[in-house]
Amino acid sequence: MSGSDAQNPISVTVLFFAAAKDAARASELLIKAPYPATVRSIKAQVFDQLPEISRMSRSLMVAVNETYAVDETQVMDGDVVAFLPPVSGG
Amino acid sequence: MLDDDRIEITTKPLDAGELSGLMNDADCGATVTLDGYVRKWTAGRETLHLVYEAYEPMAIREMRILAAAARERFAISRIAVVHRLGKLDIGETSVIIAVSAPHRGPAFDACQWLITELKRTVPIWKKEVYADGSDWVDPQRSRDPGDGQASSP
Repeated sequence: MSGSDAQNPISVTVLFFAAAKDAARASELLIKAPYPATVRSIKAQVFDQLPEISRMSRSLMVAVNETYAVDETQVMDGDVVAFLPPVSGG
Repeated sequence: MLDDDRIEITTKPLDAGELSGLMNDADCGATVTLDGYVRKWTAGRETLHLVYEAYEPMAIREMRILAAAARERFAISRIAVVHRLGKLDIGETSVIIAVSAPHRGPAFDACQWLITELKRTVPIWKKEVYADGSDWVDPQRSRDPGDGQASSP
């Protein structure tokens, strides 16, 4: 791919579960984010767009493509970023 | 052997006896099974029913990771980790963990370890429905000296 493609915004699917889904009033959100993106930048963008989700920020875990991630994890075009409240299975 | 493991998420009712039986093989001398089901009372509140949801593909992935880790840590043979989703009434089984092994010690230890880790890492959530409202269970808030979590094993 040419250098100019690397500057285009990326498309990311954001998923919400449980209490986060209730707060967001949606289970899925398609967003465009500036490149380069990380979990940190995606969180900031989602929190900005959905204040109800930002209120849960301290207890939310994030997964990228079904794997637990940290703030520094890179997010690429087409990735699925899931916002996970504290789990309570079993 | 991995092929004989049962790692599943389902909406169908669970049968701990049946799943436990599937874990037998000639090398084993014991199967330890946890049958986790819905409890009626939590901190003085009566549960009407629970609703479980999951990030299913990730939950399966995490359950498989746990099974592989258990196999590394404990001298065990077959592993079953099965979780049910949807609406569950009092007494209905939400989770079964069954582990077979040549000797009972590792089977007990692995079963205990698997349920502890499942409750810590697998992306499944339960909502408690009471007569006067409902809450997504927050494991940090609902500490119970018996088991550390509301309405669950």
